[in-house]
Amino acid sequence: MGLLGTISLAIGGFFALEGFWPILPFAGLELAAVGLALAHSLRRNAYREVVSFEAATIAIAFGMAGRGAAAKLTLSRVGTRVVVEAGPYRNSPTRLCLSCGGQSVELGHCLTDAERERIAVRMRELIHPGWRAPVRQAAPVESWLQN
Amino acid sequence: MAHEHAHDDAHTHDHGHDDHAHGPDKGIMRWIKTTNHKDLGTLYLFFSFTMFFIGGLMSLVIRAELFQPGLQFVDPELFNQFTTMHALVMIFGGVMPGFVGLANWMVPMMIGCSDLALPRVNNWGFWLLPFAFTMLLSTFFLPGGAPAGGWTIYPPLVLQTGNSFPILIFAIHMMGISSITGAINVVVTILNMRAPGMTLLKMPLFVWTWLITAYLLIAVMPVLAGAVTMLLTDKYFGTSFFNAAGGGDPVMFEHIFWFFGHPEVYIMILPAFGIVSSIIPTFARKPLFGYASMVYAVASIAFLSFIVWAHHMFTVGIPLAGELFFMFSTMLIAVPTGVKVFNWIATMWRGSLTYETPMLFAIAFVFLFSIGGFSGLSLALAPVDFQYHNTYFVVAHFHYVLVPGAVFSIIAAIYYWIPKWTGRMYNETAGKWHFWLSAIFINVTFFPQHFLGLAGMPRRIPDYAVQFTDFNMVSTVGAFGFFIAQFIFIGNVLACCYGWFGRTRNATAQVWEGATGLEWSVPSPAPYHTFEDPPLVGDDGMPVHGNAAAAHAH
Repeated sequence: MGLLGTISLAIGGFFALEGFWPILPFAGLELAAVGLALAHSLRRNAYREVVSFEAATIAIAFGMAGRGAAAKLTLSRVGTRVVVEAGPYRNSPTRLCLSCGGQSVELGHCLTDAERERIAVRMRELIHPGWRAPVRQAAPVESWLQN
Repeated sequence: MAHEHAHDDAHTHDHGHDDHAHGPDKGIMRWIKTTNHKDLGTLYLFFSFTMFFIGGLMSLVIRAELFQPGLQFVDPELFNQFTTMHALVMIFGGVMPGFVGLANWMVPMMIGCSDLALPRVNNWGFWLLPFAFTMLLSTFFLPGGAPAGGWTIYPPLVLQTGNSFPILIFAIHMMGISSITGAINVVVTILNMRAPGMTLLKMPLFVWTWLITAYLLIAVMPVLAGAVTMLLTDKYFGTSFFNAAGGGDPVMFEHIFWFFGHPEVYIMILPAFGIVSSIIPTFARKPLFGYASMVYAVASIAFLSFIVWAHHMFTVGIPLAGELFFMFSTMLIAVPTGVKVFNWIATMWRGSLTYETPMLFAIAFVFLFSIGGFSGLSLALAPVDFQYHNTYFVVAHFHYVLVPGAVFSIIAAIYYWIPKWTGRMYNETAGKWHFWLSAIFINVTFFPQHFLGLAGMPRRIPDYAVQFTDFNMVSTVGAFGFFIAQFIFIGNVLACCYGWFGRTRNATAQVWEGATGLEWSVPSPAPYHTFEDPPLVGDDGMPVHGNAAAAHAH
């Protein structure tokens, strides 16, 4: 990034000194975009949500890898529900929330809709061990087809 | 974060799951909304070939007009519009999106990550292109027609353009934004998202060349953006950046344009080097000779591309010392280029060679690109360039670099990777027909143009002196032959995509006997999501724990 910034700004700066200044703001804008993209990617790669299931509680920790939990939350295992709700608009991503009493916390916003669905199923299994996702089976062959 | 009940933990970010059943959405919205790198790679490639087709039709109009002296089909003004738009469409609509499409498909699979770093930006970057080119092509129907001042848009000529001028500038800005989004995505993905064990010097050459290309793009795109913005303000806002009457300097536009333009030439060829460096070792069944020297050669070429721009403008009257500097710096590029050609030949030397279609195109690339390189060396010599400048010799030179160079490499890449993309093998016989017809007709088209240029025929003219007729006729026959031959390719590719002519999904994961690399460790066709769990890459560049195809199996 340093090398790229040096080269890009040197080029833009040289042309600015020659009177062709509009190149410099474009170089600045583009470098800002590159820096933003790198920082965003690094931050997103390091972001973690860890959900731990204890005997009576569910502990949820948010934070960056290597820096420990930035925020923690503990919910009662018995009273917690796993909800996957539709987004505010037709094409919005779904929202995966853990709700307990008046509290609700959103998880997995960096996942796809399908991944949120699977996480929700797995969490329901862990929160209430008696609960199991229905096993998908092939559709039964209609008897009238055979007659 | 310590947590004792590992088996009870649900990591919602580092998700590990075995079920890859979730596929793409259905219908048109899949393609509009998609953020998947494979979908976007496919969109880029279809867009690229649509533009190649449109640009190719324009070239046929140009060649038909030049079949005989005199004016047959188009008037000079329309001829100039076709030459200008042909270049813009082929460069910004054909070659560059073609390489971006290949990068979209292959870079994540080659470095073992699940997608590009910024998938939504990737979607936006692609969807800018159809709008940009629809606007640009619509200028043919405006009063005054399309831009006709050449793709180099030199002032003051280009400032005489009519209503299409602001649309041209806006379209160039949109293409630039699209290129930058692609470049940023490639840089961020390669720097931040490589699988464990995939060190920089283990990356496939295609990834290396794209990383360097992306840096070049990021460095020079602001120069183009600034230059075209200054043209716009000169025309509409009374500035005089390039207006001599107001104290500006039109020659400075040429400097600025070629400071962008020459690296742009390498932007269009470096990924081709990466493709050929992937294909030749596969079909020679040997590792690439001199991997590290290839990386350094590509980096050297990228560096040199910044200090050679004025060889495009020897005839404008730059000082003798300047001419000498730019002449020698340009000739210096032959050194790293020679290293690359030597390494490709050394890779083939005593290899167990087979000549499947991708290999044929790769070998043709090495041979024909070298011809373009040699004519480039001739043009690098300032005293010789005074003779060749603005003649058909220049046209022959850059078409040898771009068609048997960049375009052949894109075609080779598609033949090479399409079994991985679709799971279906292309028809080898049709592929070989396509190759031989293309290789013959491309030489029939462009080789005579060297002679025309040496004899003094200027470029960008719709009419010419009668002594140039024979070579022009040959060239036109070649152009039509080359265009028609591409329908074999289109049919072959679509048959793989849609299973025409009984094509079945029987390609193995490795596809080619000599293929190595992460992309060959996943099943064919590649699952919609690959490497959601990053593989551990061994010293040989393959996953440590066996074949990832097994892990992806349902």
